[in-house]
Amino acid sequence: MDNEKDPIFRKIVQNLAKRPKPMEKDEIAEGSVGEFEIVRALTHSIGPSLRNAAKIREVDSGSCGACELEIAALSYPQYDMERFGFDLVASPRHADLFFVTGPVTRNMKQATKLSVEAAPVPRFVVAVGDCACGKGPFVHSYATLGGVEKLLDVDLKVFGCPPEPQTILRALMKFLGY
Amino acid sequence: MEAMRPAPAGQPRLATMFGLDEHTVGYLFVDAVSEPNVAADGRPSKRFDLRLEEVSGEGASSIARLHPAAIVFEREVKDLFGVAFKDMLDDRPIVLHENWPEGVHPLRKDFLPGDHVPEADRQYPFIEGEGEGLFEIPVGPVHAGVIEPGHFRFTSVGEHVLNLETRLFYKHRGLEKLAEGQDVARCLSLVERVAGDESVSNSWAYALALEEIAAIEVSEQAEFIRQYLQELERVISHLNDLVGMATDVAFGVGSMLAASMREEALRMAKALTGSRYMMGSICPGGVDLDIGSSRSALGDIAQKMSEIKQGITEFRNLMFNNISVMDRLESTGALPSVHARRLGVVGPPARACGIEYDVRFAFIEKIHRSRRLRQILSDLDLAQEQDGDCLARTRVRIKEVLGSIKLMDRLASELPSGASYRELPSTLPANKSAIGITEAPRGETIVYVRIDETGSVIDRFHIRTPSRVNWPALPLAFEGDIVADFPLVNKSFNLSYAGNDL
Repeated sequence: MDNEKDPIFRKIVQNLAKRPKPMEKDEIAEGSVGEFEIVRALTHSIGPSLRNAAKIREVDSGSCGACELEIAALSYPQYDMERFGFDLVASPRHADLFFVTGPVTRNMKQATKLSVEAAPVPRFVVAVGDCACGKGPFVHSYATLGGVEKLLDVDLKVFGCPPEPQTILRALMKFLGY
Repeated sequence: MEAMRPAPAGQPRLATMFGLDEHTVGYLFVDAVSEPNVAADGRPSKRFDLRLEEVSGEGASSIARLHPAAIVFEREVKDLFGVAFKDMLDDRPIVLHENWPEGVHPLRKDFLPGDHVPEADRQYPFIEGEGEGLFEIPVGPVHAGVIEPGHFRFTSVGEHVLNLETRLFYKHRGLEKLAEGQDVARCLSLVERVAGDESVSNSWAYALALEEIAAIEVSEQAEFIRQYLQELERVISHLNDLVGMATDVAFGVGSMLAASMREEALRMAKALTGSRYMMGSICPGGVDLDIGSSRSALGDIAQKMSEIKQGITEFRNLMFNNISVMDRLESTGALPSVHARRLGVVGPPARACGIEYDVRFAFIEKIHRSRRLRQILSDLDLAQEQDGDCLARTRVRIKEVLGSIKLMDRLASELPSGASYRELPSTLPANKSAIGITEAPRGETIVYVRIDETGSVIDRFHIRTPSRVNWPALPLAFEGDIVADFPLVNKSFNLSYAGNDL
């Protein structure tokens, strides 16, 4: 079957021509939307390798869902973080670093801890969103621990409710040494 | 199961049930099917019926056999208030997991927010199956993708699932307790974060309740803008479902097409309101939006929406002309409409089974006073399908996206001028309560608010999102399907975990 004649293939090629232009690496790295804080600077010898090939596992410890949507958006055409070597993985066993969202509910405490501890060292934890960073309206509740730092060592905090995809990406790049 | 036989004719739907304190349980029955009519004595017949029942010393009676939707609510009230129900169909804890000790009920007034609750180590009995060749497959709470946490336990024979049990409330943040003692504005920021992608709808239902309590009427312009923002939220939410559905049938081209449209819509939301999820735009009294400076944003959005309309049509053609996609979607996850009606399923999953219910039409008089707006909404077509399978739910969402875009165009072009915000009085009537209702992207959302005896803070806040009533339908839709189709069926329902767990 000749690809050129296939209507779906032709549609794909047409769409490629008029797709939204993805944000450039510099545009993201030097942008100013949103805030983050590097809690523990990355000094491990693996740092330079991660700059171009970081495997990320996402764990939701009780967020409202908005942070998840912004993390998922990093795979959308406008951000396409795979271009930069950042990839979401399905298992903690494959992960270099974790995106943890939510204030850590009592009901998610065990699963969150076990997920992160299942990753081989070196591993790094990024608290994504105000709840994970110990801020926001859910930190003083009977049902939550009040932030990821109450459970795990956190290396990077990305603030926002929710943080925009470009903020998450920029924070990660700066943490990794761009 | 006796609870799943068709309901007796004329039986109202249990929309929600909640504790007020350990002595009172509220039951809200909503009947949208019959026309509001006037009874012989001249009073309107009740379509919106809130009954408050006093709980006696021996507890309350379970109504789950008549109203299966009550199964999850009774378990919740038992956990949070300690109310005993007689003859429960399912009496296992639901909100409080193994880490929470017996006998501590956090929504009682005598449980104070700072109280220390020790870690416990209880057991939770899952439903078990016995037989040769049966496998028990536990999945979650942490899932393989970027998705909220919940636990699914399959009992399967080979690939076919005999039973699916869902277990939720991993994300329970104690939201309803956090709302108590807050003033109206601080409670609003909680309401917006019940589920981040339903921020507009949840805050709108909350605002409606407060406005009824305060007896104030919002301006016509505010009504138009609120509907407009909700339609934009609907487009964004449905596009997310289409991204997920295309991904789960391994159709990357379709999913990225929908994804890039959704990102453009989110950027438009930010241009208009300052927030991608439109947080901070709706408040009791109207909208917190300076529409004067937003007029050019409205024009940009109209342009973007027309591109999205073209994109959605293209998406539909790509998906529905693809044999492998259609093979996955057709007849998968078929929810029989008799079950949907018994459980009180709402939103696109209900409309995909032929249930003609959309709050925007059914309860328009509770939401909008503007005659012009009522006229515009009545011109909208109810998006409906019959088969109740994944394909039907996909079709309903595509129809609704196109319907929302059309509606946004009309609302923007006929937007009245005037103030968009009227301030609420600083003191509200003591002990007054009210209910707000809206059609969120996932379906009917209901909010109950009661003001305390000083008239200054929230005494009780209860929200029932569409996810709460739709979750129990998922195992019924999934009966007979293969394990591999679970992500697809789950996505086709679009159930919020946070919206369920609170």
